[in-house]
Amino acid sequence: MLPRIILASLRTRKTSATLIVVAIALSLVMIVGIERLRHQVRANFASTVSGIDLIVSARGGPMNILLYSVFRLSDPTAGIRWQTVQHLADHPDVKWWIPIALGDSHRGFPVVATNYSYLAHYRYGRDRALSLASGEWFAGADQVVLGSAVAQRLGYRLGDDIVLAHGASGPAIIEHDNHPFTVVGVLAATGTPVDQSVHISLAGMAAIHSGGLFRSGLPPLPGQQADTPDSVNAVMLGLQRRTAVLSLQRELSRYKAEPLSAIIPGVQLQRLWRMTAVGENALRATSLAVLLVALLVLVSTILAALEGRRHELAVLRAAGAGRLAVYGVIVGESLFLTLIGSLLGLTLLFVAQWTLAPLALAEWSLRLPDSFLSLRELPTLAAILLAGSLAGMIPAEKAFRNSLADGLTPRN
Amino acid sequence: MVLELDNLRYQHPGQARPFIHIDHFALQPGERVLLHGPSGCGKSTLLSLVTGIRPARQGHIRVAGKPFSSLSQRRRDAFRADHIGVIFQAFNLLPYLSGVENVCLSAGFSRRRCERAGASNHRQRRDAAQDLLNRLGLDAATSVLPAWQLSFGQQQRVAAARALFGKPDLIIADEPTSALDTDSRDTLLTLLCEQCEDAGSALLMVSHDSQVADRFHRSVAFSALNGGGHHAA
Amino acid sequence: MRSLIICLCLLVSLPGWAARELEWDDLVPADYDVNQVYEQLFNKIYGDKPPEDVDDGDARGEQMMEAIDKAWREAPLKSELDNTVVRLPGYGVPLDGDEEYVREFLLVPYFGACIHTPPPPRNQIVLVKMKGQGVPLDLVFEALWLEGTLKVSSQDTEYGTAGYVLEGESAEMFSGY
Repeated sequence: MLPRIILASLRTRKTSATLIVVAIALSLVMIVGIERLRHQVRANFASTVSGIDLIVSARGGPMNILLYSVFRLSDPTAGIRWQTVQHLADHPDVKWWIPIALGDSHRGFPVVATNYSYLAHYRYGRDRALSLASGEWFAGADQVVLGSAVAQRLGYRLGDDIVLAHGASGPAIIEHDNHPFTVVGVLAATGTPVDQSVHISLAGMAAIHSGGLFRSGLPPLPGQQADTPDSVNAVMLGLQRRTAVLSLQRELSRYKAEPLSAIIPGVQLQRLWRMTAVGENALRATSLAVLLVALLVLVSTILAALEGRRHELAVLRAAGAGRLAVYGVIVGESLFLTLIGSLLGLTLLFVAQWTLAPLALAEWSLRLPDSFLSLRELPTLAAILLAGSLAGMIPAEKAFRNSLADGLTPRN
Repeated sequence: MVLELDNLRYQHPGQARPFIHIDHFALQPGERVLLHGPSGCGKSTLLSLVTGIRPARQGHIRVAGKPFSSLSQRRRDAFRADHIGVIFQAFNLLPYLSGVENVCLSAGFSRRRCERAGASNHRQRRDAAQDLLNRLGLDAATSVLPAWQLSFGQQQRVAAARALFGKPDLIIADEPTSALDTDSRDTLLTLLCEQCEDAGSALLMVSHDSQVADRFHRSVAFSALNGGGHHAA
Repeated sequence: MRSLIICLCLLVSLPGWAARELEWDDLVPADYDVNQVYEQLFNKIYGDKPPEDVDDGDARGEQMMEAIDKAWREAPLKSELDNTVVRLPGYGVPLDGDEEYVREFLLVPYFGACIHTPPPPRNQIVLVKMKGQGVPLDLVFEALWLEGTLKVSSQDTEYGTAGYVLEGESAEMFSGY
């Protein structure tokens, strides 16, 4: 009987009920949406790199090194000489090494010069290796392998020729247009910055910066090693034993030939989370405030409607409704509205996720969440429903008191 | 006795002297009593006390032989659901429910009345409600319309049906015919008294119109009853 | 009846009982004295110069650091600890995981070495591989108790290199002894 009364009564107040439902839906979108996004961004960041023990670069801030070598988000300042790279490659503690050289771009996408080690040893997520969706890894100095997002966004296919621009980002002013590169491979999507990168060989980078000819088959200019640039920006290391991380890190910081910094990616990522935590908490507080406003709207709307419902309540009271029944009607109503609002909010969020997912992956290499509601979010939903019910308690008590004061017949 | 008032006193907050002051009043089972007096003299206040919506702090009220005024609010509400049917002057119904559903409200709050109506499930309740409405002159088609679509006379009859559902011991009516024209008034009263007789329910009706007294066993002037009470001019 | 209760009590306390609580000193073989090694190296490099006069830029300071590094790398392990269930407190250096949990990390006795102190010797570093989901991120940044099976390989082989590895079962916060 109670549900019938609640629903039928709400139907006479459709407009205000709809507004409340929308307000709650939007605040839920904010609360759950922000939390999901935050979680997803962290997950994306955290899964960008795995299995890498040290990243060695020119002496500089550890966060900066992480940002440019892994996330391609910042700009490297100096390079490390090839002799140092050689020293690392020959170091007894080092099992494998990946050189990374940055500095060029192609239509906004960063160019990464590296070697076969990248394909062989770079890992992301839970120890997942890179793989080629089509074609093969570059062999010659005029060959390029594209990340999946680059190929998709710019519509490149195997065999296409591209020209690289000098400078890490922005519109090209100086182009290496007499050294076009041919697309020989496209990597499978990873959901990491690898997708946004354009990969060339170290020889390729050496060639476009030294001004020398480099087409495969031609000998290098005197004094120039064919497949090595004079410097790279970072070297990613995998060690023979991980326990050597700390001592090697220390050793490299004292390297005499040039000033170096070696960072442990895991540690730096943790520091990153601590830094972003402040902003995240601010966002959380904001969305809680939004929910609070929505609930206040709920309370005030129900309270305002109470005046017009005095006869309604008098009828119920005369028929034998006690405090519990009155609460049932009013709190039941606010709970119902909160529930519908929450479901609407979750649906809106789900549709938004579904619609924006391909765009997010292509544009920002961001994998959006794809669930309607996850187990982790149940407590939040329960809390919102509880809050909505509690919001109804104030009008319910008022309604009951009114009925006592009105007696048998309310006189307006 | 179905209703007994003893030394009942009540004053509105802020009033110095009692508004209601009744030494004694009793109503027998099945008896129909008309309480007449001008508006504003306190009849509705008395009914609020008798139905237990307003707590009576001074004096005693017994309903169906049981102490009523000394019960807690919660118990009074439950007792009212089981034993008392109420009809107002107007606004008796939930406008968004149908006539049948409005009648079933009584059933919803009292299992006792369901049993007395012979209805043990939802379907039977509706049937019993429909039956009662028929006897009050409302057909099946009208009974399922939302209440706001009924004429005022029809609404009052639905209200009567709700009050009568489940054969309560006592029916309280607060000026149920005052807003009706003479013909409708007569119809409603005839039907109401008939059904009360049938069900064995006592009826205490309050009205400013003493002309309807012939359908009642007794007619009492409110001013006589409310001996010591002082009322607003 | 009483014996049954005693048995039950023993059974209940068994897990905690079975794990041997270690201190970092327990990971060092009895015959290896860190201070002695340090002194020997010091005397070898500095000869008769007293310790208070050591400064950073000194060439012999560099030599000292390198010698210590080398010595620490080759510090001996206690192979009899292999396959024991232990409980050990320490600080975590995260290596692998995701945004919520860390699955692989180094456990060390102290955190944030300054440039004047070298990193811990090989027998004071444990590589922890957690079973299951891993340790919550926030916990790894604090001091924690680790419980699991300690494995010691004292030789570098093709399957792995020498060092302490802990197959972690559980971790909880450490707030003092």
